[in-house]
Amino acid sequence: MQELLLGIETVFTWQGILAIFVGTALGILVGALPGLGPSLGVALLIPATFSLPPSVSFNLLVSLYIAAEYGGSISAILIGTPGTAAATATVVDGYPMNRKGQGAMALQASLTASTIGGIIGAISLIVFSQPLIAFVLKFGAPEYFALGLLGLTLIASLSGDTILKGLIAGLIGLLLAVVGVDPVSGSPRFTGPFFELYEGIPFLVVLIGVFALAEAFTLAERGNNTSDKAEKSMSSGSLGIGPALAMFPTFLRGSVIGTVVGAIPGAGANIAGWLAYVQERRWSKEPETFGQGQIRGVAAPEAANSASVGGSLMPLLTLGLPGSPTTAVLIGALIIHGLQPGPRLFSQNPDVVYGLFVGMLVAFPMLFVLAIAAMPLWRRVLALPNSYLAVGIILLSLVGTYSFRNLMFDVWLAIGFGIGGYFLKKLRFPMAPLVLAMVLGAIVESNYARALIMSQGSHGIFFERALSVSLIGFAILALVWPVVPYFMKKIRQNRQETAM
Amino acid sequence: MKTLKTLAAAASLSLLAFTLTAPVQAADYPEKDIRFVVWSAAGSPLDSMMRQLARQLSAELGVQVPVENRTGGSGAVAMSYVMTQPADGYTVLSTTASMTFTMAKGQVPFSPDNFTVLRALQAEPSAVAVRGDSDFQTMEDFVEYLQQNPNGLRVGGYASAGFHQFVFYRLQEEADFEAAWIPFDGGNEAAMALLGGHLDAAVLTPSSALAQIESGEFRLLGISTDGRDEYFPDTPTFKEQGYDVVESIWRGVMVRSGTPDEATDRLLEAIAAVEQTESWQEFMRNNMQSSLDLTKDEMQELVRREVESRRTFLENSGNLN
Repeated sequence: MQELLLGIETVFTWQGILAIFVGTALGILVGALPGLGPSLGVALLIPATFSLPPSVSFNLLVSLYIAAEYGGSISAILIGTPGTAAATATVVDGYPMNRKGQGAMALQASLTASTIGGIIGAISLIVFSQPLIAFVLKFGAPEYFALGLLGLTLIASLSGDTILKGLIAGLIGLLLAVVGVDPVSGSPRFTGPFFELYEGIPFLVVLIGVFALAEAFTLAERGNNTSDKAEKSMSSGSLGIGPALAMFPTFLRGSVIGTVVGAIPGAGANIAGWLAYVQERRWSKEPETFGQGQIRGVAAPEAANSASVGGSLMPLLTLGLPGSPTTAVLIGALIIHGLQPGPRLFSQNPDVVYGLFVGMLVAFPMLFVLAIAAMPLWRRVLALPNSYLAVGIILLSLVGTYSFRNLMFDVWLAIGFGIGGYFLKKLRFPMAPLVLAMVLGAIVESNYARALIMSQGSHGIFFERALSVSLIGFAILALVWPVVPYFMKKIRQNRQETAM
Repeated sequence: MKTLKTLAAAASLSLLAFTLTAPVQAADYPEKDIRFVVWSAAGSPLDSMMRQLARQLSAELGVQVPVENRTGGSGAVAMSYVMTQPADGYTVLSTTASMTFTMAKGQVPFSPDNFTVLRALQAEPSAVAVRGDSDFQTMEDFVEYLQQNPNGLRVGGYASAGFHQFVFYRLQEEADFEAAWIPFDGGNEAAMALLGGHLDAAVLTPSSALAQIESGEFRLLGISTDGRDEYFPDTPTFKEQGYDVVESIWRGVMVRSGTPDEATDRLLEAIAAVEQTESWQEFMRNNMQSSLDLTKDEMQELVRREVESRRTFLENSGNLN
């Protein structure tokens, strides 16, 4: 209690509140712009914090992180492009909602989910850090491999009605993940003459290509004949309090998944979003509406990626180790301010730790208010004719791609993926399996190899511990489950026929 | 109008001079902004060192020192970029000991001859860490166990064919034991694997697992410094335990070779002045960094030697064909 009072004292000064305000406002922008993500945004802001007290600057950076995880959903819904990697799952239903004329409702659902998810994540950080980290430490190479495998089985459920095309897209994603320096031998693989590819094909470049550019090409092709879409899109329906309350279980499920997966180093917001999305679809009584603009398909991943902020800060506070690229940058920021991240922070700099706790609880409501205020702005964006919108998307995407590594190479790569993505889209290949497989491919491969080095080549290591066995069990179940209703139907039909 | 023309002529002439990389007048160095190119991402340890140096160097030299991040290709992206810039001392590139690995692997199309490493401002050792509840108290315990049980322990750390594996390989060479290397995508992941009991020992940069070392969850069996490390004075060195492994991962700055001495001398003088300041020393302490304190010529020698020793390691460990 004493400590929380200290936190309140730290946050509720004009400097403290201003820092959260500025961080949140910048974060929404950073998140919404494809290419700029939370980790780059935080890194770019660090020099501006040198003259600020540590607790204030930490709150500034964390509020940017928080708001950026929400901001990614704005472009996901408005232009079908995830603004951050973690908002990729939001595109699947967010963009169709917009196309159906429910853009405003999707944005409100995403904001409500982000706010509630974020607060649940923050409270979990305050209350459950210790037990959750103890659970996370159980994850060794076999468990990471099994988690990745479980993720890959989701491809089937993301493929809509074209399982075969979904699987092909997933394989393309796995192949893309193979490019780069081999995690085991350390030598380059499929990089050709391009050393720009040593770190792998940048995930962000693929996202921008297959989502943003491919969508822009499609928009340009469609022409301006749907200019009335915009008004309809924003005007028809807003999310009432009743329906929002009804979605509370969705928020809760998403938040729990987000917090836990966010705390697992190497998994993070991105995978949290996907897992939450697919779980939601599995819980749903009408799974066939997912992918067609189902509001819960927006709420679940958004609750998860915002809740993952609290989760990802757990290893930082309890172990002093980064669990995600963004928290790695945050640790750098703490060190620059002369602080040692880890459990010692609680005793040596309680103002920073409890300031962070209180700051997060302030930042999410602040995000809610700011984002509501910004809604009319998005309405304007949507009111633009397709031709302007397409050019705008292309421009933003290419600038974003370039700013990522200051490399023209990435820009050409993005254009290549844009063209490829455009044709895949024309042929009705779903994009979600491709990007999901790309994220998981690296995790599955390196942990498979790592586990086998540990066991000196024996595959028994994957079945030694209960955690990896149950994860693999879930993966098998996920593969078999969708087929069960089909066979049930067959059996029932047979029975009816014999009855007749 | 006339002045404009002369200006244009002068500009194109100087452009020509740059493209030919003819000897550049450097008596009045620096006359303009000095650009820092960093080959790792914003917010990384190398980046924060370069930004601290840029800030202080700017005050020292009276010109702006903007910092640009050009990541990718294990540094090759930044190196190739710097090679397209004139060798005039106005483009300074970050460098680390990891460069000697990529050069030894032949992953980057450059050799130590292409660059002049001016100074290594920071250096950190590698250490063998076990959990606090481990039976191993000294390097000897650890080595003896592995000698009797080849591959009997799970040992790993950051990266494959990188610095920490190199240190572990050198230990194997010195003490004659056998153990596989389990590579991780980050030092933090290796530390967590050790903490969770998935590894028996991790080879890591001690400052990266500070919380665990201070709490006693990790015990350092040995460290790769020459004498006792200033930040971990209680940890015996490998050397004093009878294993002659003295290695550090250093971070510093370099320029294209052929940069006039006037420029490099002035830069080195200014860097030396920065290193004397209290704010630089505080930055070093906060990040638990030591100084290598080698002259420019000693640095070139070290880089060449390191590339050679890395190449032997890579060949013997099967990472280089």
